[in-house]
Amino acid sequence: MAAWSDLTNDILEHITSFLTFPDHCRFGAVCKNWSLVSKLRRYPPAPQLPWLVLEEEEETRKRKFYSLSEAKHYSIEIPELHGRYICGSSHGWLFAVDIKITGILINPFTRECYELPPFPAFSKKIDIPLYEKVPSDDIERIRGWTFEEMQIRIVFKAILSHDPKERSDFTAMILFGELNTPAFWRPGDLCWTIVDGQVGSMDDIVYFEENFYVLPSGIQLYVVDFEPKPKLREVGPEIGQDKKISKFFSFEVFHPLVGAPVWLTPNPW
Amino acid sequence: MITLISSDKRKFHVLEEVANQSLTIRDVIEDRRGRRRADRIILVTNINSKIPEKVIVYWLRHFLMPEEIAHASMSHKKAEKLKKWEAKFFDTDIDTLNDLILAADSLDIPSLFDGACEKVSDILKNRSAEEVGEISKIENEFTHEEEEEEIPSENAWVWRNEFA
Repeated sequence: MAAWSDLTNDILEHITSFLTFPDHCRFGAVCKNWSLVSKLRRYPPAPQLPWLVLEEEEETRKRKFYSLSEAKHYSIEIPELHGRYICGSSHGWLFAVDIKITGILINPFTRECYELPPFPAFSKKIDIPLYEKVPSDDIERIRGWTFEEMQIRIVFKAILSHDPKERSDFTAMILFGELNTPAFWRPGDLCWTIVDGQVGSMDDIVYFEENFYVLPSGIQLYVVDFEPKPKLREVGPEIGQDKKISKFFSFEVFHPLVGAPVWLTPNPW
Repeated sequence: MITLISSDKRKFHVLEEVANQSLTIRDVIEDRRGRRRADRIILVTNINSKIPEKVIVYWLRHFLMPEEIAHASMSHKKAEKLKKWEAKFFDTDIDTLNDLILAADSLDIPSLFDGACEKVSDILKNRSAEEVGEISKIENEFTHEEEEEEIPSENAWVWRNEFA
């Protein structure tokens, strides 16, 4: 008799609760019954190290990922991400910008997707023209920037307050444009709202216990107040003049042309 | 002392405190409290004698420290030792694992159930569906069309390892 064939579906499901997302998918391909069990998805997949989001394959346009836990590359067909630059990841969702400088927020596994409104002007001098309206002989120029450059530079970092699957009233916060200005969007908003009170360029942003914290390249930490008017407010702790923090997390490789690496924690159901 | 009788009629005498780790047995004993001695005999008919032996070994190892396990207050050294012991305990053939899971399920022994399920998941880890099929002798039963259409579109990426 085949092993494990007398295990009930409840027991099989319990076994799947110890499997990571890729193992869970492989489990579902073993036999018909296991396939049914894998589709119940009562338990979230077992936690694993996040995946590194890589570029797309040139020929197939499949998106490449690298799983640290398994030391394996995966190529996954996600049409929504074709030609898009990934500028942020949060709760298993990706922020992706295309050549026309329009953004989407997508869960690459469930393929749930939000279209984001057009980004605000890159800087006081540089507005982002409609891709279609730029004359064809000048198609690659936005005041000295090509669309390819702008696609990478427009959003420096993007994060979410909550998993959109769990709370539809989540807030998306980006650091965008020349000065990494903070701006937010909530589902239903027609445009991004810029947070006032910025001094200098911002280096990092994080969401922690109901608040967004923004870190400029100086020595003071800011929190985003949404009421009465979106504004940055200085908060402690005092950081000594001689100590400068520039990231909320430890050293990260940053490449000026590619940006910071994007890590994805698969959140498939 | 209570007596467990397996499907092949072997008898196992166990201290009540030890057997209490099975929530099913604990409830049965509780129901029968104050009755005759014969009522301290429990038939575990769905499992053969090999499994009660293993279950009792597991109970005895865990009996020494149930409080510590429950409150996660074990010293690091003890926890490491127990982990090593469990790794060895569960390092067995898949049929035994299968029976251990069934026994832990019907006797309601949560830690044994979890441990055995986790061991099965370890066997499945990083293995393709074909490999799992070979190990477990499970027939995949997918028709050719289903395998062509359904599986690849959803899951093909998980076992293709294109640039490793």
